[in-house]
Parts: sequence; C-alpha cells; structure tokens
Amino acid sequence: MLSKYFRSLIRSYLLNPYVIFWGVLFILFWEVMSIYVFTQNVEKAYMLYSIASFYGQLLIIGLGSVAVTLIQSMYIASFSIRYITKYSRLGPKQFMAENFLATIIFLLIYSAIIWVLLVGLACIRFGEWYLPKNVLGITLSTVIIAIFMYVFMMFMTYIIIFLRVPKFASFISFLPLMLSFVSYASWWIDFDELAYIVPFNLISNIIFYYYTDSKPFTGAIIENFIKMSMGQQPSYADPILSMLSLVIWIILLSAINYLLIKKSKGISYEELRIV
Amino acid sequence: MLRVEGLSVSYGGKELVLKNVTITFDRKTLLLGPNGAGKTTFFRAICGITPKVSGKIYLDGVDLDMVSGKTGYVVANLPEIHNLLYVDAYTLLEVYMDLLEGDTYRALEILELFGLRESFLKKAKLHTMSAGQRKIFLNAIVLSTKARVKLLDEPFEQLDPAKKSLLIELLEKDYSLIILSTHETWLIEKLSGWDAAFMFEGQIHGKISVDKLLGLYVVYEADPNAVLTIRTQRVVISLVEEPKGRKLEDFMSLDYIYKLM
Repeated sequence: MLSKYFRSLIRSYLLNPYVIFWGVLFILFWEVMSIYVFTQNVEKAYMLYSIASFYGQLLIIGLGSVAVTLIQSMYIASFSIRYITKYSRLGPKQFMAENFLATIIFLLIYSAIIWVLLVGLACIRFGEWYLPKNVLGITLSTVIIAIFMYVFMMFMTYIIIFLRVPKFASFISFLPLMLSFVSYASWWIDFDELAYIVPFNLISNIIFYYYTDSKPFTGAIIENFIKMSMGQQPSYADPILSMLSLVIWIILLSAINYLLIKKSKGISYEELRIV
Repeated sequence: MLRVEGLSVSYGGKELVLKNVTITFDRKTLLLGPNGAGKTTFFRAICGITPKVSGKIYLDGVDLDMVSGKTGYVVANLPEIHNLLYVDAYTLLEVYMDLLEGDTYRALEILELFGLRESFLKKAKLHTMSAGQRKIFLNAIVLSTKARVKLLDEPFEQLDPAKKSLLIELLEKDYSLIILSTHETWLIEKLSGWDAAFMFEGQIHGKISVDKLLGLYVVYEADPNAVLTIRTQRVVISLVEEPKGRKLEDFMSLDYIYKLM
C-alpha cells in the first residue's frame, strides 16, 4: 500500500513555486515566442514539424528547469530520507519505488501541461489543432524520457553525496538545465553522430519522430528545413537508434546509481555546516 | 535499554567529534553539556544520519545498524530529519505520523495545547515558523509516536516558562526511554527520577541519578572517592558525596562549571 509520502510528494512538486515559475511560466513565455514570433516565416505545410520541434526543445529545457528544483529538494531531503528509510515503515525499497513512481507521474503531468499550452496557443494562432500523428508512440516515449530524467536527476544527487562535495551541490543541480541548452543548439548546429550520444538531443529527436511520423534531423534544424523546402536531402537521424541509445543511457545511469548508493558513506550534517 | 559502545564520529574524516562514547541508558536521562559538546552529533549518530567512524548501538539487544524500514525504535526532534517534503506543516505532520505509525490526533492535541492550531498548520511551512513554533512542532511529532527511544534535542529552547512547564508534564507522562539533551541546568531540579549524564568535548561522563546529583559536592581536583570525575583538556572536576568543596545545588546553575570546562 502506498504511503502518504507518495501523494504528498506529487502535490509538493506541483505546488512548488520554483516549478510553477521556471518550469511552467518561463516555458510558457518561450511557447508564446515560438508560436507568435518564430513561426512567422514557416509555411503551413511545415507547421506540424515546427510545433514538434518546439515541443521537443521546450520540453527538454522545461525538464531541465524542473530538474534543478527536484535535485535540490532531493538533496535537502537526503538526511530525512536516511532516517525515514531506517526508522519508519518506508524501507529503502519502498521509498525508492514511491519516490520513482511519484516523480514519473509528476514529470508526465508536467510534460502534458507543456504540450497542452503549446498546442492550445498554436490553435489560437492558426485555428488548427497540431496533434501528434502517433499518440501511442509519443506517450510511450514521454514515459521513457521521464524515466531517463529521473535516473539522471538521481545520478546528480548521488554523485554529490558519493564524492562528499556539498559545496558543488548548487552547481551540479544546474547541470541538467545547462545540458538542455546543448539540445537547443541543435537548431543551428549539426551534431552528426553525436546526436546519438548526447541524451538531451536524443529526447528532442524521439519527440519529433513520434509527433510527425517523420525522421528527425541530426541537428541544424533551420538549415535542414530550408534544404527540405528546396527539395534537397537533409541529414536525418535514425529514430530507432535514438530510442535505443536513450534506453542504454537509462540502464547505464541506473547501474551507476546502484553502485553509488552501495558505495556511498553519506555526508554528515556537520560537514554541510562546515561548507 | 539503549546501549552505545565505542561510538566515534568525525566530520569528513577529520578530528573526532565523538570520542569512543560508551554508555547504557535504561531510564529517562538528561544529557547535560555546553554548546558544542557533541550532544546533537550523538543524537544524529543514533538516528543514522551521521556516518560513524566506529562503534555499535543496540536497542534491547538489537543492533541498530541492522534496522531498516522498521518503526518503534528511535524518533528525534532534529529538524534535519523532518525535511522530507516541501509542504505545509499539517501535511508534513500527517506524512510523518503515517510513516512513523504515530497518532495524528494526539499530535494535533499536543500542538493545540501549545497554541498551534490546525488552521495555522495548514498555512505554515516548517521553515516559515518561528524557532519556538518549530521546536513545539518537532516535539509534538516525537511525543505522538510509540518509539521506544525518544531523543529530544534542546526541547525547551525558545519556549516561554508556561510552555516549558507543560512540556515537563508531558515528558513525565511519557513511558518511552527519553534522552533529553540540554545545556540548560535548571531542569535538574524539575526532573527527579531521571538520570543525568554529562557530555564534554565529545565524551560522556556519568550517569548519576538526578536526585543524587543535587546532593553532591564539587571539588576542583581528582578525588579517589569521587562519584564522578570529569577530565577535560583544561580542568579536572570531581563530584563527591563528602561535604567538601561547594555543594552542587548551590551553584543554582551548572553554567559556572561549563565555563570552567
């Protein structure tokens, strides 16, 4: 049976003022910019591709923003977690399960909010619903993306504790947001083979593929759109390989996280005060 | 019975903060000592949130290192173990009572006694409460569980005199093994029937029953007949039954002794 921690954790994420401001309102601003400014020269025939690209990119930046708050919350709670998993009915396994499930549900709700706002704005602007062509594909890929984000965030939290570097906690918590802008660079830069390695690029490619039923680009989105409109062959990324790569990332990070938990001796509260 | 054997703790592998602490607690105990003596670190080590360098802690023969996901062992009013969620105080209370299998109604009753109403708890967050309100909240969580060991770190801090008396009443009625750390010494007179132990420079000295403690005399040297001898880097103090030196009760407060340490 799930504890009250599970429900309260989802609620605490959803009502977190940092999540609301940086995760939703900040991304909403860029959605408005995307729909009302960045689509001005886009032909209607390519609008779905643009919407899919915007959604993929903004979702990553949004998840990166949300990850900052989630990593910091997890880090702040680390002493409570150590106590709770020892002396409460929530043992380590059940805690991990409830924390995982609650975070995934929150990330899915968050992804849905970002998508509804974008598609809603596009409908208001263009009078048309730009819905994904493969609903099942986009749903499943969003779940996989949420799982990736979870193991990635846990990795960021555990690495601080394992290396006993609390003074870098703030910097490390911002890494997902910084990395999300690497993916944003793909509007202008062609990542070629690197597109299969950088996890945040994989996410935008997977979203694009299931949203449009068309192969994503390896990068240089603007340039490749122009090539497409001129009938030239753009540089495509393999979506299945992208998905496979993301799953490998999940497995790899999960294994590292497991080792970090096993090997970690923890940071004492007093060490934090010294920092 | 809580048995601590050879417990040592350091901060990041540096100097030891707790030095080979060995003690058995078999009834309610006051842990007295000045600020920085290691009382809170001692509690953190029992709670499992500060890594140990060495040592074992047993509760009724059970090695606490082996305890995982079990209620009824240890609860404490340390703020750092109540940071699980960023939610209002009422929800936080519900979550902790659920996880620790405590009594939410009892907790609310205690909070009401101390002037913290449900409507206030639903609006406030732990970090937005005043230091006194936060202390009351954490004390209420501890007193509303059925844990066998209740660790109360400076539970009287920031409370007004009326609330201090109320808390003493609640502590007297509680049947758990309470270990109460404080640097306030006026409590000694109020808690007869308790034991007292001293903590200085990361080492525990004692225990003595509080009733016996008040009748002892203080001499500033090692005395072969001492009930308790406390050695620190600066001074040696012996507590003796023989009427020599100064009567401990006359100090009114142990602060004078702390100064010497």
